[in-house]
Amino acid sequence: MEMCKPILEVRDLYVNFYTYAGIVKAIDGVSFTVCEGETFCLVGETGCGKTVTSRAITRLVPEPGRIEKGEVIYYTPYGKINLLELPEEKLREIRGKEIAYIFQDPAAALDPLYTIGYQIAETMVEHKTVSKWKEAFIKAVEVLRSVLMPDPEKRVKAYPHELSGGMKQRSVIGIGLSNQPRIIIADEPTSYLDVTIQAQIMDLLRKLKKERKLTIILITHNMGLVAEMCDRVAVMYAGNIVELGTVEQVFKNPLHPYTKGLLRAVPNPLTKIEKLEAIPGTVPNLIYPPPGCRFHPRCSYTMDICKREKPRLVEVEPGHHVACWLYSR
Amino acid sequence: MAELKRFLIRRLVTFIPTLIGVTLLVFIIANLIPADPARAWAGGEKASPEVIERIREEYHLNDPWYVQYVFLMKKLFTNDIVSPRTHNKIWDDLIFGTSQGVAGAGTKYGRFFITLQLTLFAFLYIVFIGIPLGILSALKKDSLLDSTVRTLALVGVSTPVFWLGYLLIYIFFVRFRVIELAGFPEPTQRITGIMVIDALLLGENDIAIQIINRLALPAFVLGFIGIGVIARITRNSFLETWNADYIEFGKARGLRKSRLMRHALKNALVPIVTVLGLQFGGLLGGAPITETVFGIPGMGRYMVEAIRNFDYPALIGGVLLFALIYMLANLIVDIAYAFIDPRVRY
Amino acid sequence: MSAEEVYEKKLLDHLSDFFIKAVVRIMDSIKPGWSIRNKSRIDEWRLMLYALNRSPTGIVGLILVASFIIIGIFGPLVAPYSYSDLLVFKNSHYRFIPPGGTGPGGEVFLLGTDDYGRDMLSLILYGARTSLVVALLVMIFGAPIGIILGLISGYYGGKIDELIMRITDIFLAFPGLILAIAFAATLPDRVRGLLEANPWLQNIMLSLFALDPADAPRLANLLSVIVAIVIVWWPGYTRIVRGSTLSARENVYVEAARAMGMSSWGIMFKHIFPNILAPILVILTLDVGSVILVEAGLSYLGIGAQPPIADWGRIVYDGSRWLIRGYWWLSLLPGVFILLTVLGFNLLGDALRDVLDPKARRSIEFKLKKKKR
Repeated sequence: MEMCKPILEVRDLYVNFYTYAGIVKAIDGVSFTVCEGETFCLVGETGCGKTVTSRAITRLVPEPGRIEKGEVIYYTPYGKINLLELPEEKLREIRGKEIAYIFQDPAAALDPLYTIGYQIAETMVEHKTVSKWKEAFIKAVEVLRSVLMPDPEKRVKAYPHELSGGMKQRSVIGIGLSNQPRIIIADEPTSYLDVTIQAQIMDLLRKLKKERKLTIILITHNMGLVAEMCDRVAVMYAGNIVELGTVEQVFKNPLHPYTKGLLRAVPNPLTKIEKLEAIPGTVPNLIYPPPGCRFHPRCSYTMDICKREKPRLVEVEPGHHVACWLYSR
Repeated sequence: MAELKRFLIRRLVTFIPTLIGVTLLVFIIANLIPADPARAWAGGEKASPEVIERIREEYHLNDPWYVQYVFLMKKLFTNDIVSPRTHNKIWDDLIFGTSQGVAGAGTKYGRFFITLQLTLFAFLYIVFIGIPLGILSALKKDSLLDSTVRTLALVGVSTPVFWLGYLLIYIFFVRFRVIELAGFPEPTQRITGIMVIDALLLGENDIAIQIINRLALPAFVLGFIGIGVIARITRNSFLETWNADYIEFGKARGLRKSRLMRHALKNALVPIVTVLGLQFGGLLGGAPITETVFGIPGMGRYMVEAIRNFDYPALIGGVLLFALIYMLANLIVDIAYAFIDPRVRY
Repeated sequence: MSAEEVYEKKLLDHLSDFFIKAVVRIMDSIKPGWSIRNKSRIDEWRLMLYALNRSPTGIVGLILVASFIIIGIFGPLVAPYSYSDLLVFKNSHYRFIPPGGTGPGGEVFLLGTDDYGRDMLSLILYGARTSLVVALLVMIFGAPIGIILGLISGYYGGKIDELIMRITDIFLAFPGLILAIAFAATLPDRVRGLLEANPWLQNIMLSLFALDPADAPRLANLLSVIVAIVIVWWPGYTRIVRGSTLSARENVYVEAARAMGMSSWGIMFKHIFPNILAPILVILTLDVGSVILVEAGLSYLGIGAQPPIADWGRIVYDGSRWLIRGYWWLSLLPGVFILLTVLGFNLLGDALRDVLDPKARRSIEFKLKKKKR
C-alpha cells in the first residue's frame, strides 16, 4: 500500500437535528481521513448519515441540523485549515472551488429557470475563475465538452428541462468541475438515472479523476459501485462508521457483523454467495438510539458490553479498522 | 413569436363569450327594475309624456329585451350611444374625454384613465412594499418581523377601506393639513392617457407633483389590502423555493447569498405574479369606495352613479370595460409566466 | 389509548371537551349509536380543538368572534337608547357629544352622540345585530348553493361541469362589488312586494334585525343587499368545492361505494362531503368576515340599510360628513368595530387552516404529548 498523503480529515464529528419530535442524533462521532488522489467511499443504508456527513464537511447541514462538535481538516498546498471554524465567506470561497459537490437528483439541483451555460458560467464568475460573463459563457462550452456532453455549443443554451437525465447529471458534474476543484463529493450521483446511463456517468467520473488527479468522495448504497470505483471504503450504520478499510479488506474479509450482513443482503461483487439474506430488525430511531453499540439490537453476536459501552474504531490489520467489541479488548 | 401570436388570438377569442355573458347578465339585472327607466331618465314624475315617449323610441325600450340588448351592444361598439344621465357618449365619458365633464369643465381624460392611474399607483405600493416585506419575513422566519407581517396581512384584509380612508384623512388633512382633497389638475396635452406620465413627458413637473400628492393617500388606501396579501404569498413561496434543492446546490457551489436570493426569488415569482394579477382585478373592484372617500371622479364612482340613476347603458359599458381589463390582466399574467419560466409553452 | 389520556389539558381543552360531549349527546339522542360509529372522527375533531386552543392568534380570533356574536344577539336588548332615539329634538345640546362626554341631563355617553343626538354606543350595538344577521343569512343561503353546485360540478365532470364553470367564470370576471351594487339597486322593489304579500316574513325579519315596526318599509333595501351578496357569493364556493371534490373523487372509498352500487347523491353527501369539510369550514369562517366587510361597503355606498336603521357601514358614511369638522367619533368609531369583527373571523379562520392541515397539526400534537420519559 502506497503512503497516504491526507487531503481531508474528519475528526470526531457530531451532528444533531432539532425536530419537533425530539433531537435526532444523526452523526455520532465520525472520524476518517481521505488521501489525496484516492476514491473514498461512504456506504450504508438510507438514513445512516452518509449524506449528512458529506454535507457537514463544508458546513452545509440543512435546517434544523446543527454541527455539535468535531473538526474537518482540509490540507491545502499551503497548510491545513479547520473548515468548521472558517468564517462563512472564506468557506464559501472553498465550496465549489476547492471542494465541489455532485448531488443525487440532477433535475432538482439545477435551477429550472436558467440555462445550463448560465449556471456553469455563474459558478465560475462567483469564484473569479473568469472575470467576465462573456468569457465564462465561452468557457462553459469547454466545460460541457470535457464532461462529454453531446453538441455542447447547442446545449449550453438549453434549459434543464430540455435535457435528458444523463445530460443533466453531466451538466451538474460540469458545474462541479468548472473551477478545477481538488475534491469532488459525489452523493449517489447515479441513483436517479437509468442503469445504462449510470455506467456512462461512472465512466466519466473515472476518466475525469485520472485526467485531473481528483480526489473523490463517493457516497452510495450500491456495493457494486463501491467495488468498481473505490480505493477505500467506510461502512456507516446509524450515524457511526462501523468498519473502514480498503475495498479488498472490507469485501473479502468483512469483520463487523453489520458489514457481513450487508454483504450477504446484496450480491457481493468480489465473492460468490449462495443466497441473499436480509438483516433482521430495522434501523433504529435516532431520537432514542440504543445505548452502547447502536447495532446491538439487530446483532447476532451481542454481548453484555455491547449494550453498555460504545465500541471505538480500532485497527485490526494495517489500514483495516472496525468498531466492534468482538475485535477489541 | 408565431406561437405567442396564435396563443394571443386564441385567448382573445375566448374573451367574447365571457364579455357577452357579463353584459347579458347586467342587462338582465337592469331589466329586473320594475320602474320605468324612461321616466327616470326624463326627469322623474314631472316629465312630460312626449319626452318619455321620445326616450323610449331612442333607446328602443318598447322592443323585446333581446332587440334592446343587440341595439345597445351595437351602439356601444360604434360609440354611438349617449348616457341619459351625463348626456355624453359613453366611451367619451369613460375613455376619450369630454368637452364638458360632469362638473361642467371639460376633461381630456376619460373616467377609466383616472381609475387606471389610481390603480397603478396602488399597484406600485403593493409591489414595492409587499414583496420586500415578504422576502424579509421569509429570511427572518419566525421572528417578530415575520409574525408582524403575518398579522399585518390579516389586518389588511380585515380593514374596511372607507374607514382607513377617513382615518388617514383625519390624520393628514383634519389634523395636519399635509394633503389636498379637492381638484384634479390635468396636463395640457393627452399623450399616453396616464396623467402623471403625460405631465412628466411634457415637462410639467409641478402638475405631476400635484397629481402624485393628490393620489398618494388614496392609492395607499386602495392598495392596503394587497400589500399584506402579497407580502404573505411572497413569504410563503420564497420560503418554499429557499428550501429547494437548487438553492442547496447553489450553496454547495459557493454562490453568494445575494445570488442565491436571486435564484429563489425568480422561482418564487410564478405564484406572486398570479396573485398580483388577481390583485389588479381586486383593486379595480375596490375603486368605487376609495373614489367616494377621496372624491376622485373615476370610473368606480361613475358606475355607482349610473346604477343609482338607472343609467344602464353607461352601466353596461362600464361593466364591459371592467371585465375586459380584468381578463386582460389575467392574460398578461399568463404571458408573464412564459417570460419567467422557460418550461411554460403556449 | 384515547386522546384524553395522552394530552396535557388546559382550561380551554376542558371547555372543548364539554362542547364535544354536548354535541355527541345531541347526536346520540337523534341517532342512537352515532358516537360509536363516528368515534375516530370525534377524536379527530377533539384533537383539532386542542390544537386550536394552543394557537394564540386563534384564541384572540375566537374571543373577538364570540364577543361579536354575543353583542349581536344581546346588544339591542341592553342598548341604553333605541337606534331611532333622536335626542336632538329634545335638546340641541345632545348633538356631537364626544366619547365619554355628558349630556345636558348629566347622562354619560360612553361613545358620544352623532349629529342627531343618537347614542353612538346604542347605534353600534344595534349595528352588530344587523351585521350578524346579514352574515348569517348570506351563509345560510349562499354557501349551500355554491357547495352543492361545486359537488355536482366536480363529481359528474363533463358537460355539466363545463356549464357550471363557464357561469362561475362570468360571475368572477368582474368585480363582485359592482355586481352586488347592481343587484342591490334593482332588487328592492321586488323584495318590497314580497314582504308586503307575506306579513309573517316581514315580522320575522323585523325581529331578527331588532327593528321598530315603523321601519318596515326600509327592510326591502336591507334584504336586497343580502340577496345581492348571495348572488355574487356562491361562485367562489363552487370553485373551491369543485377542486376538492375532484381530488376526493379519486379516493378508493369512493370507488368502493360506487362499486357497491351507492347512488351518486349518496356518495356525494356521505363520502365526499365529510372529507372536504375541513377546507369548506376554513373558507366559511373567513367568508363571514368578508361578507360583513362587503355589506358594510355596500351600505357605505348608500346601497342597503337606509337611515335610521343602524348599520356600521352606513353610520360611517353618515358620520363622514362631519369628519372635516373634527367630529371624528361619528365615522371612525364604528369602523373600529367592523375591523375588529372581521379581524376576529380572519384570525380564527387562519388558525383553523393550520389546525385542519394535518402536517401543521402534527407539530402541535407533538408539543401536546405528555413527556413519557
